[in-house]
Amino acid sequence: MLKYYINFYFLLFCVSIWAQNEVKTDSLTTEIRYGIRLGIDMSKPLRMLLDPDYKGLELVSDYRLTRNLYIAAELGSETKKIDQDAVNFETSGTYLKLGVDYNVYDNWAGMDNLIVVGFRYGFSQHSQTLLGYNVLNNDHYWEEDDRLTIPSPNRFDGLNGHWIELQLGFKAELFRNFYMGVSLQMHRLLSDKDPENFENLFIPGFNKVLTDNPYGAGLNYTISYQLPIYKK
Amino acid sequence: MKKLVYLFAFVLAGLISCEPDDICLAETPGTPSLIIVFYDNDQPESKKEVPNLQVKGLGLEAEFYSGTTDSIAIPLKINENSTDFLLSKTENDILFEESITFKHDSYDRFLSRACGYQKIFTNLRTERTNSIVWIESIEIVTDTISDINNTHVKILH
Repeated sequence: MLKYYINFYFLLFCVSIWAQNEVKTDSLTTEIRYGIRLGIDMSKPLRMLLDPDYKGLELVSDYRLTRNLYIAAELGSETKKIDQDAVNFETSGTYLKLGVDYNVYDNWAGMDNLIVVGFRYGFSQHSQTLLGYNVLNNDHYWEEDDRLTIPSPNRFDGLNGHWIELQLGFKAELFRNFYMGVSLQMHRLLSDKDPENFENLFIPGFNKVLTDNPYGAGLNYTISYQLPIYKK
Repeated sequence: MKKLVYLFAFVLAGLISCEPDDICLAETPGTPSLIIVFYDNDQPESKKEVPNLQVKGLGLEAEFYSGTTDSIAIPLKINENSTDFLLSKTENDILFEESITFKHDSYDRFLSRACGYQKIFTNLRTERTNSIVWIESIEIVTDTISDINNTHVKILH
């Protein structure tokens, strides 16, 4: 049995020598492909399947500037209805995020995978519609209903949000020029235009807004295609 | 790099999970009650207790308050523009009952995601149907009821 293994290793050894000889004669490309990558966030249609109160679409794109630096953007649209105990509202709008991606992963020759640290500036334009709410009433002596449904919902237009975002993710080239990527996003709200006598509780692209906390979080799961432009 | 990913994931998990916003704290001031302070009709600057005061909402079975006091905080109706209360005192085994209608406008002020809105009453005024039984006069100190820090109505008796 042992003899068999030893023979087998010898065989492998020979194979590897043969393989390396082959590499020397092969003109393996060390060129880097430059191009525009276009993609779509698959987490949003997935979320639409699971959450009937959510609609969303996000297109992602980046353009390679240097070996490791990309300019990147996300353009999206989201509608989310939130019916909580205290408030029932719907937010709808579009957003754009612009920034850079930096690849910190050292690829082997010919491969193009990325571990990305990204920075974005994001802004939204949205509307928020108040559908109903609770009146906080500590005394229920009159046995009244605290829940109020607004017969003609209050729609607040012309709202916006501005934020900065740190992204951390990876992109893997599955097939030539086809990439799958996941990124986690941490946002910090810089400013927002609130509806009168109400607040931005959800901002498209930013996600849920907390009352005394400017931070938010998000993620995307992208499938993208790189349109190769040139090699260098 | 790996450590950075872990740190990022950790911070992210923290951001997503810690949402005290979804809990409305019990001490959050909601819709304010109407604060009535009873004063002496003969000495309008000094408070005067009402012996065996009974407070009851008109049309309700349950009594809101019963006891001897010089001030009381009563809830106004949040879905209507007027609230009727029966205020009675018992002195020397004789019951004196008076009915007061508090008329008010109102609007809702946003508090937070978890607490919703609070009612603010404005343009408070009172109406009395009966002739004077035990209450000599009612003075509205402030016609906007937005908190419970001050007296809203003075009742002289």
